[in-house]
Amino acid sequence: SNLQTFPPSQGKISGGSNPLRDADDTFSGPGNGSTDEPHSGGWLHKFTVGAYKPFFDVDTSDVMDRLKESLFPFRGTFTEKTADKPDLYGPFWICTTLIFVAASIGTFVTYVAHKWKKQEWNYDINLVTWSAGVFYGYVTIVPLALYVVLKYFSAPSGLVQLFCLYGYSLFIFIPALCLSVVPVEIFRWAIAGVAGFMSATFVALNLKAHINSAGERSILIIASIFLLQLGLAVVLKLYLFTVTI
Amino acid sequence: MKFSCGTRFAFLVLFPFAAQSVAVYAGSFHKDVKIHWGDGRGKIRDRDGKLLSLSLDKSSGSGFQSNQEFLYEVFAVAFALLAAGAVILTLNVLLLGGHIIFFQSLSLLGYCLFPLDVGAVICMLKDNVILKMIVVTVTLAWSSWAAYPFMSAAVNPRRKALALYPVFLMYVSVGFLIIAID
Repeated sequence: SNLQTFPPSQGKISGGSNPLRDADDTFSGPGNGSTDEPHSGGWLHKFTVGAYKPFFDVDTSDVMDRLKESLFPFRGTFTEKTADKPDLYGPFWICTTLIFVAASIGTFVTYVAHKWKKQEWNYDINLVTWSAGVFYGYVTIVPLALYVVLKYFSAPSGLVQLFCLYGYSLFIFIPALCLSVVPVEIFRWAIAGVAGFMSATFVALNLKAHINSAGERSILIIASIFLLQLGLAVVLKLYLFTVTI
Repeated sequence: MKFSCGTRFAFLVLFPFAAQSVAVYAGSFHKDVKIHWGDGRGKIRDRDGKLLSLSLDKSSGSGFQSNQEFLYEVFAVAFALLAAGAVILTLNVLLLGGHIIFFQSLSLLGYCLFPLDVGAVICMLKDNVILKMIVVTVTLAWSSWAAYPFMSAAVNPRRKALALYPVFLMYVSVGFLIIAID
């Protein structure tokens, strides 16, 4: 089916002449339509599970590889590796794990701080709802905005690839949040800085090769996404780890 | 949204443990409330915090507010987490190319929550953090072990971990809620 955006730089349209295959077997990419019902239901097709299966066509080893890639931002090979099989499994579950880790570590930090000063402590459920809003919102809105901006500058990238990139870029925050339990302010800022920097470099470098075709504006775009990611790290540090008794 | 017997049961058991935290106890105004506005017209009168006065004069009045958060919010989050979690976990398996029946999976995930319910009830009885952590760890392991055979059989063996991790994550977050709530 032709429901997904198909970046022109990728070129190949495969799949029209494939022999009958079980829908569970390998989908070799977002452009490869399912062998059944190519246009049935039209827009209603987007509400079926089958429409999103191609984005979850990864094995455990694939996901582990991509996670490891995200820890080495200076390689810049992430987009090549995920170009034909971008997945939404990683972004969604990394975000969800981050929400849980952020809420639990934030709660733990305030708990320890209150008990240290022998104060009353009550569980603040707002941490959970707030982190959910921040993380899901960031991974949904920023790639969407970037997709629109890139399309405007005629250097289009697939939307799912962008979601994939941003989702995996957040993985580094999980160990960073765990390390931030240490109650030394300088250390926490250092961790936030390093994690933010690594995450921002990851996104920027992986996008750089792709959008150089946008011309002189590409520097502006790369700089702004770099700063946005750093901003996220700073916001996290400030909200979760600034404890007032 | 239809809830299977399993999730209804889980909800029924979680409700008392959340409701318990609303129980009124004899406290002190110093701890429980703060004078919210009034420019000195509202006062907590005695050392023990058993007497609070609010006065009203020609210019304005006074008021006080509770220090506690809206407690039912915790219950809402717990309920939403379990209901949405069961649906999302089932969708996750289906998207990974697994073969399960939607409502069977919802039901099973709800029933496998039972050990954590037992743990929550035990934690309600004795308010010691170390004990709570031990109880929650044991019941969490039990719940995960109960859900493991079903979930791992539903997907391709190469994707087993991808299907099982979210189940574990959901039970861990429930366990965390149990420890964190007083």
